[in-house]
Amino acid sequence: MPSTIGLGRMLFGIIVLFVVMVMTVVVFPAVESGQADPSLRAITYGNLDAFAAGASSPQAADALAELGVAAVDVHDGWVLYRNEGCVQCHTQQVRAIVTDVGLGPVVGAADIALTPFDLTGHQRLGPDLSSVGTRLGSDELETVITDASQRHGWTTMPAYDYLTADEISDLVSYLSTLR
Amino acid sequence: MTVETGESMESGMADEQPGEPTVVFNDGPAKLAFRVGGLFLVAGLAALLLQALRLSAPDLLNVAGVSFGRLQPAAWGSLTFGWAVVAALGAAYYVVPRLVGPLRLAPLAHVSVLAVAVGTLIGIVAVLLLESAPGAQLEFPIYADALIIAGLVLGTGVVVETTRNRRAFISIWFYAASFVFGALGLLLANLPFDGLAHALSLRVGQASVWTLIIGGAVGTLYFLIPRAAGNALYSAKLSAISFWTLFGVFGWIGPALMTYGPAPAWLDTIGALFAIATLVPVAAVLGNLGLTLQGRWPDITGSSVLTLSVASLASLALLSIHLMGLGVRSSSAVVQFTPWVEAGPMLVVAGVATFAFLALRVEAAGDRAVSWPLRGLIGAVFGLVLVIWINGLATGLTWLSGPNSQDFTNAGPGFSNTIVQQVGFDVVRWVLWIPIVAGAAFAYLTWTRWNDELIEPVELSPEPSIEVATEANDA
Repeated sequence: MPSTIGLGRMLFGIIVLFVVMVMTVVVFPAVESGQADPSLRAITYGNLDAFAAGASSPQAADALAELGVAAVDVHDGWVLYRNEGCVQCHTQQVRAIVTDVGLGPVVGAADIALTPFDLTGHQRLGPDLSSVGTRLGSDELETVITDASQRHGWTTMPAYDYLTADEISDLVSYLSTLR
Repeated sequence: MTVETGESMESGMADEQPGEPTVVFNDGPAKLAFRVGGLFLVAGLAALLLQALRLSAPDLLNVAGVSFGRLQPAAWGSLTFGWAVVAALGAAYYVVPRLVGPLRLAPLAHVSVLAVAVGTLIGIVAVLLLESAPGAQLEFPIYADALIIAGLVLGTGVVVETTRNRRAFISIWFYAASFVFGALGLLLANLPFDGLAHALSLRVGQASVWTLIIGGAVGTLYFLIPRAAGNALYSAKLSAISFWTLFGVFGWIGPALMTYGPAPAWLDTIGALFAIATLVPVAAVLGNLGLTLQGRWPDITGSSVLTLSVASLASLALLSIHLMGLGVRSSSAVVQFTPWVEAGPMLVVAGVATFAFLALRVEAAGDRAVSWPLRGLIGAVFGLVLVIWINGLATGLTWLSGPNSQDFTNAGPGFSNTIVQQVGFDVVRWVLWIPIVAGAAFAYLTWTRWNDELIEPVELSPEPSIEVATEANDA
């Protein structure tokens, strides 16, 4: 009965409950999924800070070179994507269900391994962007960012025309790597 | 006479007429919390009204610093931490002294409220102008969260110290446990994990913050409802069951917020299981407090305190339905990522928390009448949740219809199908936000009085101790 338990012991019980919960729903799943090798996507975004500083893994460097984008621009675009709150309307999480057919490859734990910022998202007021780099070219991406209504009259996306040309270029570089 | 210490309270009570002593409480920290928290409430709701309008007019006030993507997390941060968490601290500083005696460490209580409020303000400025962290309702950078965590730790210290060597009532358990649980959840969300561990820690962090807010609100209802109804709390056993199941279940719903995500499939089962299991604490709270209201149901609509308290309980019940929709795989496949997800923070912050803490505020103001702005606020919150749910189902079914019929995919031109069915819902939604903002502003501007006198001895508080309730009802 609670009447026999002091406040201190109760709080100790709450902390134990919390630790058990974290072990079960955070640590164990992460350890299990950590056994998978990170995908190229994960290596790229997991090392963007290193890229910006001039270091890179050969695999990721080749992938970015093939796309014709500079690592430092991708890094800056990725930071801008995060800070402008793009994740409020766009997910980067294709699931293995009917709804997501046609959106690109399913995103698994190996694809987000190493990533220090979770951008998988929680709501789609706009479409999923996991593979937007395969759907839209650089010019189209720029149009969507600066004035999406030019491309789709029905859109509810605001015009991010207050961004500088450099910022838009960085964002386009980042989005073009999402594939 | 303001009571600062146990000794002065005793001497103060000795000066009063026997049988009807007047105790005046040091409600400074509680007043500060509700004064500051109310500002965050009104500002956050007004920002969400603007956001709702922007879905119909995307370029409305669209300038750097308050763009849709930046204002959305700032608004929810304002409501979640600036209002709900600050009000939970204020509620504790109002309720605990009335149950066990004068507040100890009152200066620290002030500091705790200011720490959370300043942390929230810094977080809002950072999100609007500088940087943003990922995670729904957890976008504040680490330096803002650190202040909020410090405020919660101080709040726990004040509650524990005030209760030391005194009888702990169930409300006090809820407050203390909520602050600890919320602080741990925020700490977890800021740990330098990467990959899946990071994604999961954010979901568990969000669930922990919800637990903090719900726990604080339920603790407040355990104080308010017996007092307002004039009945003893129905059952001590149900109180204990509701307490342990609430804190043992709600944090675990984190995985339900990313069903079909990159986590192992067994974690989806955990998420579904605990989403369904939220029915247990919800039923315990509703049963206990509902039976406490026995014989007083006809009075509910005439009392602001009881009306708001029952609205808070109803929001809690709807939250279980919401979570089951997200956690159970078959329904999650339809509603996950749709507007359905917006109903979660709506029910927790605008529903459970706002109704419970406004009930406490109206109790402190001594205002009993149920005004029309208040009715509008309550009706609009439930109306909005209903619209969001229907909107979510409609969107999810639209998304299913494309691939099923092989007519379109849910990206590029195919996404127009999502937007077209959305147009009507967007209009209804911003219309419903108007009475919500108006109701909150009305409450903040008109409930300025604060009755810090309690015309009864602390020992006769209508919330019985667990021992008393055991004898009265559980025997």
